[in-house]
Amino acid sequence: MSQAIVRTLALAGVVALAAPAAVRAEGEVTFGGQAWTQTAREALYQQYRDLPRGGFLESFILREWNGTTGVTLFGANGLKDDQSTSLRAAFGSRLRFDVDYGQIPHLFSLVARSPYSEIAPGVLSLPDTLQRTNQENPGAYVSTMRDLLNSAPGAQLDFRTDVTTARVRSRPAAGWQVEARGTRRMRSGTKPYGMAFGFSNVVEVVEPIDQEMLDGDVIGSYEKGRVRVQADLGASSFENRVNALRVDNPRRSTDRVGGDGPQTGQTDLYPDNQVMRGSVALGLQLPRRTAVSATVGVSEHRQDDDWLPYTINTAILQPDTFPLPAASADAKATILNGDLRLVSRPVEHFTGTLRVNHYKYDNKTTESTFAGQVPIDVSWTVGPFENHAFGHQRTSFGADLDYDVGTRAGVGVTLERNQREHTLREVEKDAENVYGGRVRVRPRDGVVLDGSYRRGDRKLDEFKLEDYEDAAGQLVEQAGLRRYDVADRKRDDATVGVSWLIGDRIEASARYGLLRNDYDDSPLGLQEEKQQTVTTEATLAVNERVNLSGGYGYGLANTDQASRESSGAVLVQSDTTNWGVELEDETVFVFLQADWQASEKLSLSAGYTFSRSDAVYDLSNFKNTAQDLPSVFSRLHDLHLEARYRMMDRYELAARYFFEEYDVTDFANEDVPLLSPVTGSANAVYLGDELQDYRAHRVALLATYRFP
Amino acid sequence: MKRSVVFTASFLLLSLYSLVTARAPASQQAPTEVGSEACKPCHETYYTSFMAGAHGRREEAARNGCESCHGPGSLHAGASGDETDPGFATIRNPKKLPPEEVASTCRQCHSGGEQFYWDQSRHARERVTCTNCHSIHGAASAQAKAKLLSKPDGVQVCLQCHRDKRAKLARTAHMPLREGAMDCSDCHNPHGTAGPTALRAASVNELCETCHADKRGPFTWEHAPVRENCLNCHDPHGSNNDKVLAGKRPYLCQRCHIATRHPSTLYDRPDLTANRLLNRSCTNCHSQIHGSNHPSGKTFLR
Repeated sequence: MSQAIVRTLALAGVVALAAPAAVRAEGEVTFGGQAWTQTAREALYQQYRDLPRGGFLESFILREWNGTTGVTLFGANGLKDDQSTSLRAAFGSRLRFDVDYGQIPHLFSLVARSPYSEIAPGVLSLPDTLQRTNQENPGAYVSTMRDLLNSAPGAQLDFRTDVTTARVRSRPAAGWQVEARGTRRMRSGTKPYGMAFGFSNVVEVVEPIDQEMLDGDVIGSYEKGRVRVQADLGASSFENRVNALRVDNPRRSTDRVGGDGPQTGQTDLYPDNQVMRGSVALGLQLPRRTAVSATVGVSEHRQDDDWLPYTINTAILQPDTFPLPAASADAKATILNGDLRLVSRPVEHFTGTLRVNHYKYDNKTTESTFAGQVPIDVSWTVGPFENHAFGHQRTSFGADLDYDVGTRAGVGVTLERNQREHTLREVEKDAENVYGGRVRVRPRDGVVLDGSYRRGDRKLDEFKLEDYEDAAGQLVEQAGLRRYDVADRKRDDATVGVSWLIGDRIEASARYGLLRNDYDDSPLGLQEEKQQTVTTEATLAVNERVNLSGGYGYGLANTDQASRESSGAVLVQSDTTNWGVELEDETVFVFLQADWQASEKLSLSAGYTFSRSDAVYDLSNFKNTAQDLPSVFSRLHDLHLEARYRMMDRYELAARYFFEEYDVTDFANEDVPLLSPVTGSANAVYLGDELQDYRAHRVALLATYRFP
Repeated sequence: MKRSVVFTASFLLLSLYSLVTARAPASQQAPTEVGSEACKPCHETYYTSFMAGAHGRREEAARNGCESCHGPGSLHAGASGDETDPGFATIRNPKKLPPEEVASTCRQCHSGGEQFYWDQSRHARERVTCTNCHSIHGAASAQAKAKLLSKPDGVQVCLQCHRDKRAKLARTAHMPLREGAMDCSDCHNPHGTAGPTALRAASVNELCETCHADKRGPFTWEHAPVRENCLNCHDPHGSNNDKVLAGKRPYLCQRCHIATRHPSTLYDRPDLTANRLLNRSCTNCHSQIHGSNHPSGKTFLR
């Protein structure tokens, strides 16, 4: 909080210093007080915002200028966790200076609890006595842990990203523009993290976050006549100040091999990495209303964090017995991208576009051979295991032709070919041909009809079954599985829309969209996904003082996937263990808005939003024993009312009321116990950061003061 | 009498001639610049907001004022509001111009940086133009002033046409656009880019990794579809699943992983308390699903 105050004051100071001597100034500040209640402490209500209680500064804007020199300072949610402050200083059109500071909160839960203490950054500890008790008396694990968890303290589960951006833009001479910009993102807080010590010993803990991302770019452009050139040189770095997470195993106070595992486990958290990048772009205006742009970019990604040991379980002999193949990953990748586009309008009513886009992620990470692994710090799994430097590239060729048929209609066609390569995947090459058309008709003034359709047909070049085999040549994955990101696919993408302006007062529109991916050559895996949406909107200007608007949206997503159970070590390829899931996810969305300028001084507005989602899981299997899962349901009502009263020229008062109601039914994220299952032998310790139904009421009184 | 008729007729003819000759050069002559003050009497609201706005304070714009975009206004001003006067229509009114001409007016100044790829952009091809999103004379709100937007914020501008996204943003799992902490233009440049779907990066992953640099790697152990495209698993515009996932776990994971042992198991109603279905499902254990740098991280458990 104190840092935020300092930053805000510093910006205000800069403004004051930069303000020209003989100035004109204007501004506006809105402040007030707010109170709110919530029936359950559900975090969703404040997921990305910090709702104030008591006094607050909602927004402000201060502008000072003298001729062509001006400074603007504006911001919102002053001194709260979602505050933003911006400074714009312009010295004519030759020099411009912008600074932005914003905070983005992300609240996960207000009801989570954890028995762990963070005794050092990333080191999560349990009382030794607890571990010893559980080790010595495993039969009492459930009762011991239940007692502990019931008295566990609340756990903070939220993080905040503070983003500071500074930008200087200069136009030093005719045709020249140079821009330098830098961004610093600081992320700190916590989030849930799952740590496994075995299939029946999963522990969810609070992961500390302390990260810094820095980005800097210098962009220069020059324009003369029909030629434009632009170059960009930049760098980026990510630093994680918590490199590893060490978590005590609740079941053990001493290390052992196998069984319940070690006293403490360790995992690696996101490694530091760096990027250098550059690009050059050329734009040309050619005769016959033809424009060409060509861009080439290259970037180098590096990551060389030291490897942690295979395990910190001292019962597993290492590192002398199992040395690591190297000290660090020596991971690097080069990205090369290029784009070429030509747009031409050689004759009236005709537009043609040719485009080529290429992107290559060349992963040059050293491939190392590991003698084995200790995946959950419990026991050594004999290797060798080799890491793979997955890379990929895609090249897209496209042509678009558009023709205006008179002034009331237009038609267009698109042809596209997308070629991809995937390094070290079961499919290393595929290609998709896309054919599309669109039409737009204006049968009468105020009425527009439009539609489009695209058909894509993606075919893989060769399927490599050996990619599904282990080192001994045994199949470990079903031969019939085709992963949807590289499988043969037929795609239909269609839209139809109408918009209608009825007189001067009514505007209405409706739109339907369909996206269907059909993987009909995949015996196992995703078979089909289909998304349909209908949206309608209308606005009605009842008179000069009253405006009404509203909309309705309906979405339906269906997926169908096929699978096969093979529970043993050796793969079973038999139809008798086949199973499948058909998922239907329905969404309804409604919004209404009414604005009434009741008098010159009084205005009223009301808004209502409703959204509902309902997902149905239809499970089936060959033996006809599959039992469907419960539906997942959520519903949100959101109402706000506002009255504004203008007092004199400079003052305005506002009163607001907000109502929000959220209902949820979710088998995975609702009623999450701290120890699970609640009966029988426990297999997991959770944070209990569950979703909850809630109802919230919020009232606010605000005043706005404008000057001069 | 005869002389008076001749005289009168001659007078009228001469008068008519003088009138015609007096008007003819006026309608044929090119309009000239008269300065913004000439606009003020009839268009005071526009004049005031324009001059107080970003454009009015720029050197070039301030010098030529309204005529920077509307063209020389001498004949329009000379018509004094008379729409039948041929001079009235000599002013350039962007509302009546083809989209390309509106854009070319703005691109006299805005041709580099953000607007470098405008000519090649999909918006330009689909005849969207600057004034569909920007209100040159004054923004719709104090917050929209920095970009002279025609709606209170950037999201509202985009939703004018991209209406399917409004419903997606209303879903439980969404990025902070509803709350105003993000804007469509944080990820997309509506003026066009060299990347796909007007992204502000050459690929989806490079864009996402701008903020999520912890997922950038490269990692010792890569998850191939993650490395290739975040959209294989996430729907950034909104989803009914946790973490804006495109499907609910474990079935999302089981679209690709049905290997021997537990990945291929059918998790149904009797398994509701299993740690492979409850809470974060597969990622209860496979926490490093975006990639691992741990020597024992092959299956993203560490």
